[in-house]
Amino acid sequence: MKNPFAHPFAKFVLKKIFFYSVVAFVALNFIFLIPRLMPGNPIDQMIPPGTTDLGRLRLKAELGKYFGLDRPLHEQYINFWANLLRGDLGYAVMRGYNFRPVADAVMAKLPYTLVLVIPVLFISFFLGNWIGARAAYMKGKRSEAVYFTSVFASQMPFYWFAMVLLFLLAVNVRVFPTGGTFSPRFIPSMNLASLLDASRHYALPFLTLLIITTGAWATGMRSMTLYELDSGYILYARQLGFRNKKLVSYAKRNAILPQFTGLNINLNNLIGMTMIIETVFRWDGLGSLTLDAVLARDYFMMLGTFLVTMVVVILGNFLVDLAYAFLDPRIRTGRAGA
Amino acid sequence: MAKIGGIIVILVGVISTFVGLYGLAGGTVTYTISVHLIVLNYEGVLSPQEGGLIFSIVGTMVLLVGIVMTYVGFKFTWRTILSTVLGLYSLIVLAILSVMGYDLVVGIAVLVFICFFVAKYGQEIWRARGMFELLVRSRKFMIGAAVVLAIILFGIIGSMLTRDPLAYSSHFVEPPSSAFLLGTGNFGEDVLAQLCAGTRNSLMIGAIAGSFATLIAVLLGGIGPYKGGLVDEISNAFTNIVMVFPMLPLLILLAAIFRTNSMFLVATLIGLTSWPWAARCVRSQVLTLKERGFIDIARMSGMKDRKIVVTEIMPNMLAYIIIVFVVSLSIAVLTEAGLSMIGLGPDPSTNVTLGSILYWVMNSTHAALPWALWWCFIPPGLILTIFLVAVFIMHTGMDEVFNPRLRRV
Repeated sequence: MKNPFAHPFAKFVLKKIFFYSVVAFVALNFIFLIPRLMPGNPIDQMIPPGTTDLGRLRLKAELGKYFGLDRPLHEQYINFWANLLRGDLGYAVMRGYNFRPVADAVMAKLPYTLVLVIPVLFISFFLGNWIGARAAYMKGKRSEAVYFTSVFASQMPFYWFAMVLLFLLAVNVRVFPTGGTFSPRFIPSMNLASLLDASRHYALPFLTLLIITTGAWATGMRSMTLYELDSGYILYARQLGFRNKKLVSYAKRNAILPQFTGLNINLNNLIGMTMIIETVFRWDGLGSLTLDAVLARDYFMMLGTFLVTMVVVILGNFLVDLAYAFLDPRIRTGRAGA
Repeated sequence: MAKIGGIIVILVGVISTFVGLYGLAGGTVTYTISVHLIVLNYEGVLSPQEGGLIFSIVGTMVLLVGIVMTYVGFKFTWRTILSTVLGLYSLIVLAILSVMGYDLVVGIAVLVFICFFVAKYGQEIWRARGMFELLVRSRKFMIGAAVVLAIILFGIIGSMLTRDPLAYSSHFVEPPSSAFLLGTGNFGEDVLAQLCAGTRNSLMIGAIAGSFATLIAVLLGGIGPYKGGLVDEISNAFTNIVMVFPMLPLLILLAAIFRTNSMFLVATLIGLTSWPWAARCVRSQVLTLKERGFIDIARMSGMKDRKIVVTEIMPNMLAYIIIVFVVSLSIAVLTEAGLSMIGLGPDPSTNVTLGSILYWVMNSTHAALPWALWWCFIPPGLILTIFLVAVFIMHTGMDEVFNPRLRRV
């Protein structure tokens, strides 16, 4: 039997796993080092401002012992990794969380952010690339109009556009509510009324992210398709008498391949954008949690949310790379360096 | 086997160089300013002088080890290594000083450095004007550049001509009138004055962040493909690793840890996290230049590395690097406004940036929905959008010039 690891697809997957493991390792070391090297002690932040000097010294000693910060650095490092593998990310010290484990709090808020990010990722990809490809064979004024609209949509600051949508759709024309994940007296459950209410609250953040990312994909796809329409096989097919629409459908398939590498970068940007937009709409997700932790100077919660964000990003990038390898037959057979 | 040994030598060398430089710089600054900078739980035991001295000595030793290993790994000349180390040392000292709050010193030092640079390499810059002439002929580039220039002038001249942006008045949230051209905000301040001052400050932060990002990008994206081989692989791998990090959460974390009033510090943080895109661009351009072959000829004829970089590579890359700088600037302006809007930028009570205007719209306690007051929040976003669109068009025009295959669009 042939060596299964010699298959080019397997080699590609292994290389990617190695790469992302290195990224995860670097990120985790970074998370360990940051509070210990930066000016300002996490413990100093936790002590209330009016404490007397003697009380401060005692509190520092006690909290230091509690959080294991008085041990030598290498012991802290080993404890860090041990806790990580056990799933223990520390305890929340901020108001309203009552020393809940950070992992619990973060995992409870994670689905709300994912439910914004993942649909926007897929829908904007398909919609944007379709619009871009169609714009490639429009002529004249309509083509310019579509181009400028998509450029404008992609370059708008996303937080400002969120405010604009709130202003237009929630204040002037009261179609959507102004924020929150659910209406105040609703218990999230599976009946129709609750789902309808949730979708009304969901619509505005979703629309904000969707319009901006669709604009970005449309601009990119239009340029890529127009560039592809200049290549040899298209010119030859045009001489043979194919219709423009058919030519574009052939060019589309080759033009979309480089867009998949942009999907990784788009995922990273989307997670950042979602974190900030959650504050505008008071959407109860990971971004709101991060910012509440920041305002309350809760180091363990901040690091916990950053860690979970990194894990989501790494997993997402890895899955996109796998999908790309699946779609590009050159990687499956190992023929090209792509 | 030798390759792995080479990688280890280079990695150890680079890491110990940076650690040594950090120690040395931190040690000298601690010694001179007498404040503990590098906090590692020895505060009660040593005085700043002693701590600074120890860190400087240990840092110098680690630095020497690092220099020797880098010399063995990269095969640079002693002069190049010395000048690089001195440059990096001064950069780290400047960064530490800016964290401490000595903004003016750092600003003056940067200006002096730029003047020195232009004075020394003026002739080569003049010889690089061919690329600029090509760019001026491109219509897209000129339209974008004109709009960008208009916005810069709006910021600089506007803030000289309008009222004080932080002055309160008794006219709370009035719509645009003849006295206040864009209405008043939540504390009675003039929205137009805030817009002008905000544009100027945002552009300044963007310029500082953009220069940091471009500097790191040129170092990491330029040295790799130029030297080729192992150095190329390492710098490429490093850029790819950092590119996977999501910039905004990392920036939120860093901005939350360092919370100061300093605009320079926010700009530095943004610059330090937004360089991977620029590094990728610079790398692809240097690879294109390498394919043309004249660099190999220069190297074969025995030219020193530094002379090749100054006389052959820089004239061709200067226009491209300037465009990368402008796009980095626009990305930094966008990011800074986002950070300021959540409250993690420079202190909104004393600094006016485009994002802090949005922060006050979101966080002020005036009447139930500030959203109904369109003149408060639409102008800053509009200016940001127009600026970003103009930079995008400039970038597209530049792409057409440097990559003739794209000219059909």
